[in-house]
Amino acid sequence: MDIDGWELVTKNLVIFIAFALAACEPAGEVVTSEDTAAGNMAAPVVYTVNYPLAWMADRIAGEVVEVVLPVPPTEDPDQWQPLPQHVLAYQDADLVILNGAGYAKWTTLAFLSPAKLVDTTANATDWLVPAGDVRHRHGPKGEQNNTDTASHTWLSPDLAAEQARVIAEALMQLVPGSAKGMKERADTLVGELKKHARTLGEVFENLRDRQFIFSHPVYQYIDARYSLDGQTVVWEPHEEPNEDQWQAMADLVEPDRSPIMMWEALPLRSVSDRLREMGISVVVFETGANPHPRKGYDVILDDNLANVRALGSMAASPNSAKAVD
Amino acid sequence: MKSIIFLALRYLAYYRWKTGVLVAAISVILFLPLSLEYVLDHGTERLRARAQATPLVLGAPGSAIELMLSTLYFESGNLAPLKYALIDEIHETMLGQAIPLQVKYRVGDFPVVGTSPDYFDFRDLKITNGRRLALAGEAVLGALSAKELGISPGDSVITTPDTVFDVTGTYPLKLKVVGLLQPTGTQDDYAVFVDVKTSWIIGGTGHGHEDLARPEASGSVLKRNGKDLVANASVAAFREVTPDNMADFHFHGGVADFPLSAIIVVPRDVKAGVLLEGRYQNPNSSVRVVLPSVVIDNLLNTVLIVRQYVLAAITFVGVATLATVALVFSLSIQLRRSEITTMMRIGAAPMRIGVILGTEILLVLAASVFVAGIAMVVVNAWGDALFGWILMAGNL
Repeated sequence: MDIDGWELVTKNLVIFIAFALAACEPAGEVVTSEDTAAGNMAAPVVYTVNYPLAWMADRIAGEVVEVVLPVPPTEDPDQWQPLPQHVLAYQDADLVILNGAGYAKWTTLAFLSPAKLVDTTANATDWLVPAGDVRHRHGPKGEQNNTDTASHTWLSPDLAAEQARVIAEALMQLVPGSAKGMKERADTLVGELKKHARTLGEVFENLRDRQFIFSHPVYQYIDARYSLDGQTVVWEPHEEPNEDQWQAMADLVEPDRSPIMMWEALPLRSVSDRLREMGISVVVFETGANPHPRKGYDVILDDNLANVRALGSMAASPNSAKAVD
Repeated sequence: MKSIIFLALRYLAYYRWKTGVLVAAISVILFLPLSLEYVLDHGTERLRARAQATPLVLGAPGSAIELMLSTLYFESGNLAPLKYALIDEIHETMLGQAIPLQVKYRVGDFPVVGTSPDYFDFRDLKITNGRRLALAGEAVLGALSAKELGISPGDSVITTPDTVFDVTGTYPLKLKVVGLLQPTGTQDDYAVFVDVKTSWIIGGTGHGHEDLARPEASGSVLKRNGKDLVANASVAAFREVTPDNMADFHFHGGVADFPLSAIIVVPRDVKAGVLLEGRYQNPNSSVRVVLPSVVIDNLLNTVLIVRQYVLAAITFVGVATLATVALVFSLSIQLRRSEITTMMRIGAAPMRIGVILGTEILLVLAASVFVAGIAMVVVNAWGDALFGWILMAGNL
């Protein structure tokens, strides 16, 4: 055997010994967030029931946790009826973050481990407001059904901040090794949401004398937090209201208060034109319950703020207000 | 020697009824204490194994044995209910995992066990056919309940109403069977597992019916006060949870107040177990904590005392039986006096005659040992099936 052959054999032997030693390395290493982040082991999986919760969990957890929202983009997460395979996926998650307040009613009939459920509004009962739905009881002494709570809690940024705190606590318990980083990110997020709440308050303060009409019963927390004293109708952005609805709107409107109609999405052009003719300003205030194809929830928050702020700048001449798009 | 055995066998064969009775009597006397020991040892082992695998159980104050029978063997009994709020309370302590159990209803002779997914992980129950539970109104059956009911995934079972004539009792709920469990050789094989929420629906705490706010439901509305409606008894509740009516199912009252028959607590570690035990051991507490292994040991100690009495009785009967057998043989020799005289006259030595009579006795004893041995082999081989039958008989 020549010299090169020996070198080759020696090199292979060294590589073999290195592999053998690596294989003999004792088990029981401390799992760190870096391991998880680097993909050295499967990251814990956290399932959520709407996009704002998923966004908050993702902001707080960073790369440490895989955050999943399995609701199809075309479905309203609140009304979604999951198939058994969806529920089984929730079952296998390490944590399931719920909105609480009666949101995503399917979770009350799903077979999920109570140890994995995190109700982000369970301790915020003082903040919750009634939805104004019809309630019933069976017989005069029967128990009331417990469905009359407004569920779009995150629309109040203060309440969203509380929900973020609860999410942060749950995630820190799930991955204690990454608690420090999560705490810092959670504090930043809570700070941003609180600041957003204050700014939104200032903007709504400028609209104090305006009449608010909500196109859907989802704005109860905005209404309550900023004392808008609004009225709610049920108009779909992609549908043309019938004449009864227009008549009801005409009866509802107080023209001297420069009414504002808040929509989850931009209504049909014909609808917004007719509303303008009635002296009603249209503002889009997205709930963000579904993931947006082009923007994150932080952008949705900013857009909502900008849309409401734009109304304030038009307050001087309400009749010239136009749909915000 | 061959001729001695031949003569003994011929005698025993000629008096076959007498021989049969003797063999049967001695076999029973041998078999009874051995089988009793086996059954008790095997049963004790099983009871201890299930109890030791269940660290802590919380229940309402009352009989600890009844609580154990409900938690480990799904006997419904008359346990006072616990509140579901206790599940969250235990999780908030972060000392362990709380698994709810609601054992109150039945499908035929089989208990309906309302629980959470954690129970399946805790008992290591695996699906052999179909899938896991996902939604309310679904059921997963233990191996033997499925076999007895002749059920496969996709079929349905109907819960048994409390009483036929009690209009205020529970109505039957049709459950969709979505999976079958692998056999475990435990009481889990005889259960019908459902979500604890399904058991609340069976009990009437949750239900589904037409939307009372719709005009077509006005006939069922007793009183209307703004957005509050009071319905009368004519509201027809859905008797099955389907994808179409699931959204109409709801609960009245707060989940925290909903009933559980027991909670299995799996402490995080030994220290957490002690802390949890101490937390609920206050005599004024509305919750009772028990260690199943201790309760079962106490129960088995009582059983062991009973076993001593039974064994003493069997020994007494055995001695009496053997004395009777000895009497039978001695009387038999008396009756065979002329036969023995004849044998001596034709040249048989007295020693040889004694050996023939002794061989007859030995052959009877050997046959008895053989029969008792066969019976023990059967008990040993079919022990699990036998215990299954005993558990089943206990359910019935």
